[in-house]
Amino acid sequence: MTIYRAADLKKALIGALAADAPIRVDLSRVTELDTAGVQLLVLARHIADDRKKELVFLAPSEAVRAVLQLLNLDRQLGTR
Amino acid sequence: MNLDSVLLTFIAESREVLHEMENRLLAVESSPGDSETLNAIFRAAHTVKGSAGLFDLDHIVTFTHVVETVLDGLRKGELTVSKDLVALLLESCDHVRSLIDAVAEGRREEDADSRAAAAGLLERLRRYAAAPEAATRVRSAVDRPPGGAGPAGVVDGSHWHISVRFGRDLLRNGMDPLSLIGYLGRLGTIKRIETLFDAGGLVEEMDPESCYLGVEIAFESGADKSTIERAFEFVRDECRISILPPHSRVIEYVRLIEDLPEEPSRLGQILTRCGSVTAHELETALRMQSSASAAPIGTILVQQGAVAPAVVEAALARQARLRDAKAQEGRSIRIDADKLDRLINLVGELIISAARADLVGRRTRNVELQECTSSLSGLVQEVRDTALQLRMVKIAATFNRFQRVVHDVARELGKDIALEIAGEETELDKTVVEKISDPLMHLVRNAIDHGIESAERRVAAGKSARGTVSLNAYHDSGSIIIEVSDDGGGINRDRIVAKAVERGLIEPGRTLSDRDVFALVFEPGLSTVEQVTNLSGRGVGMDVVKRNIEALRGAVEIASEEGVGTAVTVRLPLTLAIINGFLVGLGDSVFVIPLETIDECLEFTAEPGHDYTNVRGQALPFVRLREVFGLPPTTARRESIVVVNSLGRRAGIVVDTLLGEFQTVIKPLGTIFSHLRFVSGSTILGNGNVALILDAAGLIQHVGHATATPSTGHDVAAASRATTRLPEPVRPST
Repeated sequence: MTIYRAADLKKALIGALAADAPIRVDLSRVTELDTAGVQLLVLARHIADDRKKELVFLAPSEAVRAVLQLLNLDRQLGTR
Repeated sequence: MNLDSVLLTFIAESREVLHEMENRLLAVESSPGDSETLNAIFRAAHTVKGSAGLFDLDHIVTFTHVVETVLDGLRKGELTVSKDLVALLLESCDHVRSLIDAVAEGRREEDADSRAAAAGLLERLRRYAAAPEAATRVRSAVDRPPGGAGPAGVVDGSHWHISVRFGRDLLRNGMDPLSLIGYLGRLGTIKRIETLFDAGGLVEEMDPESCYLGVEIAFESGADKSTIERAFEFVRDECRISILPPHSRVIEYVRLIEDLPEEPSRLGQILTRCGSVTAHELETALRMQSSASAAPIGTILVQQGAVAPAVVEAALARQARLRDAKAQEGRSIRIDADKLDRLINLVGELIISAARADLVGRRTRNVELQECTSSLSGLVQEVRDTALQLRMVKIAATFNRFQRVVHDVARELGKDIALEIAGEETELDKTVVEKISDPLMHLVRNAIDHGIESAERRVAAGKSARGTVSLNAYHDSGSIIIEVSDDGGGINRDRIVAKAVERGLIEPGRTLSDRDVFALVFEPGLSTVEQVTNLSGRGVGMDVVKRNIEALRGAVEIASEEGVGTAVTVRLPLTLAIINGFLVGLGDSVFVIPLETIDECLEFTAEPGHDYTNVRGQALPFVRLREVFGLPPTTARRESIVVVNSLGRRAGIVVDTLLGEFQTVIKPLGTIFSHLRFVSGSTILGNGNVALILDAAGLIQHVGHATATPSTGHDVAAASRATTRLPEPVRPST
């Protein structure tokens, strides 16, 4: 999840958040996460909280875990 | 911002810093108590670590961090300088340099080999590093103020507080806040970090390529403010950054809160969560502020007492550094070597053009034009000298490198050797410096390895146990002389003769002068070393040294006295680009002899039937240039002898005519002419013709051989006639 794909990913996430069903995002195969990617995760969490929707980030990969821990966002995002 | 060019600067600067570090390390061994030197070494390691961090070169940061810890221990006097420690630090320095070299080659990751090397060094370093760390722990426990609140108005937190709102365009500019924070983690410990996301109401419109993040960091570190600031150096302009030192005044937090876009109450929470400031402290300060709302914030600060001394100190230190850096900038600039080369090339063309203009002026007999060209050529000559001066560098850098070589090799061989350096201020052309360093290295190694005897042998011979290798440089008539000498055992003359006879280099029973005997050392395959150490057998023999030096239009000679020492003298031209030449004619062909090699010019006379003449009662051997180049005997009525001198040997060159001085721009000969003997290059004359530059040293040697074996003298000339064909003067297509 990097800046190179951020625009596409944002569309996908917003699209999923517009639907009614609870959302599960599988992070197990994310090999790289940069600031743009982090922002998308935070954005999705904000929108979901606003709309009282269920959003779960599943099985974060090592790359994801490291970045979120660095930024102390893991609890906020609910990845642990 | 072009990261590549920044990386190049990083590589260049790191190399310089490491070089400095190495020199200082070598110096510290002789004066262990010098705190200035220790500080400089520490700063060097620190600089490398800091800048490597900016480029995410984690392996370099991790390694230099440990080095730095050890150095810090030295600096604080918790460790003492020892031979072993210095050797270890030098090795570490080498390792970092190899890592930097790898980065320069585009390998930003550590490979298995260097990781193994690092691990070995780290383990040894940690043995030292452990000591100061323990000491620091004890001390900081003692230093900590006794429990209870600090002075009024000062927050209790003992850590820095860093507040950053990243710029919107940061990501698009190729920077990633993550790496900045990651780097910060290496300067100290991130005690607590709170990440803020501020896309505000524009959730749907949020541009995924913009950066909306901000961080509040509680940061524990021994680094000073400017070091921490430097972490943000490349993003400073785009971001809003506040760095509050430990024990800052509460009011500063208040100001921080006011300055930031987020709601004060929310920020208050965040800061409290970071532990940088307590809720109570904040509340008190806010109350104070509202009661003094009329007073400007500065007054409140004054009322509260001065800002923490650390802040002032950091600010002052930073200012001083900036001033220093500016002064430095004013004195020197960095220039691409290619640009200089281009300038020199242009100056060369200018000289050729000026020579042309001069020729035309003389031919047309236009006095006014001749005056112009004569003042023009005076200016051109000055431009030439100034341009060449730009490329001149002091030989000190090359010489100082040998401190390390002597240190290491002497250690390896278990000998006690001091290196004495003189004349390191002597300047010579950058290209010459680069090319001379390998041959010099070999000579120095030879001196250490084969020259200086073991301590026992020295004492037995009545010498001091400590051997001395000396490097000396000085200018001498348009050349630079570099001497490598030692006070070792000297060369066994008889052994060389025996070996040379064995190899068929000389006939048995011949008596040779010392000079000729020692010159044999430079012949291929003649090594007089009895035992082979791991230093010899590197594939570079003295013959290669000689060849390399001659390729630079230089010459080399050995003088030695058994039991007293050996001295190798290297003579090099000051520059490889432009020289003062002397034109001589041979029929229609014109040749250039480097002016600095010429002693005098004489009218041709010869002892009947011999190839030498009588100059003021002394025999002077000469060579007929026509014979050397296989031209038919002269038809000129009068010939002249040009007396040339190289390393104290004189010989005459017989030519048809003397044509006078000429500023000679040396153009290399193509590879097809590389086998030509006695010719070292070519140049273009004012009339557009090509003239060949004669290799005076080679000719002198040829004369020497020819006279040493008179019976074969003619054969040599005949042989050279067969192998050297003079190329027709052509204008090279440059």
